[in-house]
Amino acid sequence: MRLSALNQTARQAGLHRNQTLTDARAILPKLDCHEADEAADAALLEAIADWCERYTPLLSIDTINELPGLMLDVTGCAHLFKGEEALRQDLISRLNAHGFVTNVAIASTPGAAWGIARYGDPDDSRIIALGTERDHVAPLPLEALRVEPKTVEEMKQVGLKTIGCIMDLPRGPLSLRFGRLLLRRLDQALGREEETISPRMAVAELVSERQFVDPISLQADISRSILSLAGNLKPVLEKRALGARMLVLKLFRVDGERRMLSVVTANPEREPAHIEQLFQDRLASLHSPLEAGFGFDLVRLEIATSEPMLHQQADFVSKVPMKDSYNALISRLGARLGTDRVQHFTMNDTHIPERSFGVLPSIRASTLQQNHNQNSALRHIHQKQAALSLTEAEDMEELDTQLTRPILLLNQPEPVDVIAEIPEGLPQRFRWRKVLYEIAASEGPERIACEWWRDGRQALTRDYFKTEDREGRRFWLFRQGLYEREAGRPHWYMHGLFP
Amino acid sequence: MRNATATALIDHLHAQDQMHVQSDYQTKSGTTLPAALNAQLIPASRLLPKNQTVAEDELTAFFSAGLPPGSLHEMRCAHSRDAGALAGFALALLSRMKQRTAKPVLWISAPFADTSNMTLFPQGLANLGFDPDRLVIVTPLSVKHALWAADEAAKCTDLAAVILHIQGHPGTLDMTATRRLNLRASESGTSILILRQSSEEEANAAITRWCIAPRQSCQLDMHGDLKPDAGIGHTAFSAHLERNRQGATGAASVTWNHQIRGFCHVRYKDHIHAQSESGAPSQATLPQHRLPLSANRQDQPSDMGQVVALPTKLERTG
Repeated sequence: MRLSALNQTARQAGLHRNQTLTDARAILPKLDCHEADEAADAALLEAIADWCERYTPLLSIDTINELPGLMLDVTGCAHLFKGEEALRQDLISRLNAHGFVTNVAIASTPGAAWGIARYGDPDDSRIIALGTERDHVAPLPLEALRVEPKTVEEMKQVGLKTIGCIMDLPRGPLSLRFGRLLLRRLDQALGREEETISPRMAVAELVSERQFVDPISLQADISRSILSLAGNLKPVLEKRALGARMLVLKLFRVDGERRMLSVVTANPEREPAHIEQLFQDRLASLHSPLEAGFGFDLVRLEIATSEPMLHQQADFVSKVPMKDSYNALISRLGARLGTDRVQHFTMNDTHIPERSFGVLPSIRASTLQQNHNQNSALRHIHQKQAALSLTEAEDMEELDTQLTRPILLLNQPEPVDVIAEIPEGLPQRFRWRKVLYEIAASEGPERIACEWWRDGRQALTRDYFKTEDREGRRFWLFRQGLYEREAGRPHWYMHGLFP
Repeated sequence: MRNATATALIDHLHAQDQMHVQSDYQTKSGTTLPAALNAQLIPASRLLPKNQTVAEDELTAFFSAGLPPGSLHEMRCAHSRDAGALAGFALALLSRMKQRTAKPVLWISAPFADTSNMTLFPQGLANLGFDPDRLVIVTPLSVKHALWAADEAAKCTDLAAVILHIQGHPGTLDMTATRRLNLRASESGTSILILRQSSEEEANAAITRWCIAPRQSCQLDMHGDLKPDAGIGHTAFSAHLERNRQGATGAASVTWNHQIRGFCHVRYKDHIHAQSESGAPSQATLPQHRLPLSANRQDQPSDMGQVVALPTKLERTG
């Protein structure tokens, strides 16, 4: 058993990582140790990363060489906290208040910041000005370069101990002997090579936030702040001729928790009142309350996706208020019930009934419908019917004179006990859901062959029958398999109800 | 007030249907109905066969003009196996509507759909004459959410109709809730329809309540006579208007012709018998423990319960 992490006191007593537990106990008999829980550590780091989003949206978790940490890209953010030093102090003091000891360094390259935060001299400055990376990185040990421990060992064996030692060595032999990663890391630390961090979450297109000296906890306050944040975003959106399609609300709690709510709109939206209404619906649908605790001290509204939205001329004639429109309704239903619970039908090109249609969230369908021409087959039938109802067409025979498809389809065909003539006769009576039905009339069969390219060659043919029982109920039954050709004894299934 | 609307409607139809041949039909009672109404019901090319009659009463207006806009209506069926007839009749009546014909229809399925394991089939809808693209399916997790969705949708002016599909008698859909729905509907002009599957009569604020049952379909020959044993014909329903706040009640057997998208009345040979049989389901088919019903019903007197046991006299001897 080895030590995987230790605190300041233990470090001062001379213990170090990877030391065996027995050795450590010999040095420090009173050592208090707990088994490492990597999953819990990772979860904690995630939570801290969530919390750190208050400083910048661009942040990533890095776990190079088993030294986990957070990388924040504060480019262009520092002035919001009155400078880099103030930002750093704010971060340290806030995390300290939560009981964490932090090593924070700010540098112009991720590589330099990584090394200085972990291996830098505690008394030295932790803010590296642009162009001075070389001076600050040179005294650091080679581990600070984010290379494999094996490479570091090899370099130590030939007497190379600090980054300064390898900085001016000829690059060719160095690369040949220790690999290309070493030089790459060196270049990245010194700013010779560009390095970007990949953020853990998609960066919002537009962000508006508000900090509170007195944390807020009432829902009314949250609503009001959403309203004002959305009001801040509106002029920017108008200027860019955009409207929000997906909005994310992030609430940062005083004790470090972060709550996130998102809503999707059916059409581009930038009206603060509508946005606030959507979030109210979303809040109402939460299974557990928001748990404000001691309150939220930072509220941020982000626009995750946006779409072009033209200015609309106000209308004096139509009295319909925008909030009662169809799109607003779809957005609200989606916000409250979940977007996948408000759906449209889509058509697929197949004859198998249960595969011939699908469902699509209406929020996506509404955008599709603007430039769609799908479902043309159905539309064609429909138009033909509409035309027929107006003109008295002679070619009525072109349409089916009877209904051929049921109105309700069972999600799963249900097996029924059927008495029918063999091999291919009409059903006479059947039992479905424990009720016996006497068939008065039937029509069929309508044969629907299997899709061998999907189901394989063993798939069975279906013969569909429309039947009517003595009381007038009409059912859609099918016999699966051809008698003695595909199946020895075909089974019957109930698949739908006719009107 | 209803008469006024009906007159207006007839005038409107007169104006609209000038091209139809105006012919007078004799109804059972011998009175002449406005020809335009008939023409709207059935194209003039198909003169009414002798076995088909135009409805004798209020029902005609419903079958001709579809669901009245801006009000709450209820349709129910006694068993869940009649759900096909219920949904079919509702959608057929919806597709007869004159207003907002291209607007979407919101179909809110309260969360029983899993137990009865059925979904609407778009091809069947198109077959019936209803564009499935108009339909928005909402499947909330609870009846409470379904009611909220119906409430919100009732306020929306961009919808043709809202259908709330429920099963049985959820307690939250009470008098207050239905009255609110009705008010919202009258403000927005959207029709709201409660489809109640496997249920009994329940007092609520709906303007009308229908009991729908499937009816044996009929195939008519060239002369309009019923053809026996001719296979399955046009979809037929027996629609019983159990309650009507704005007019009389009644029952009728109708078929739905999806080609012309219109209802036709059918006079079965055993018409009188069929009426009594198809109207309200007979006492034998309904469970005997019935809820107490509202007192001033127009249609039929209700039994207020059932004698379970006669009181026995205890005689003390000794």
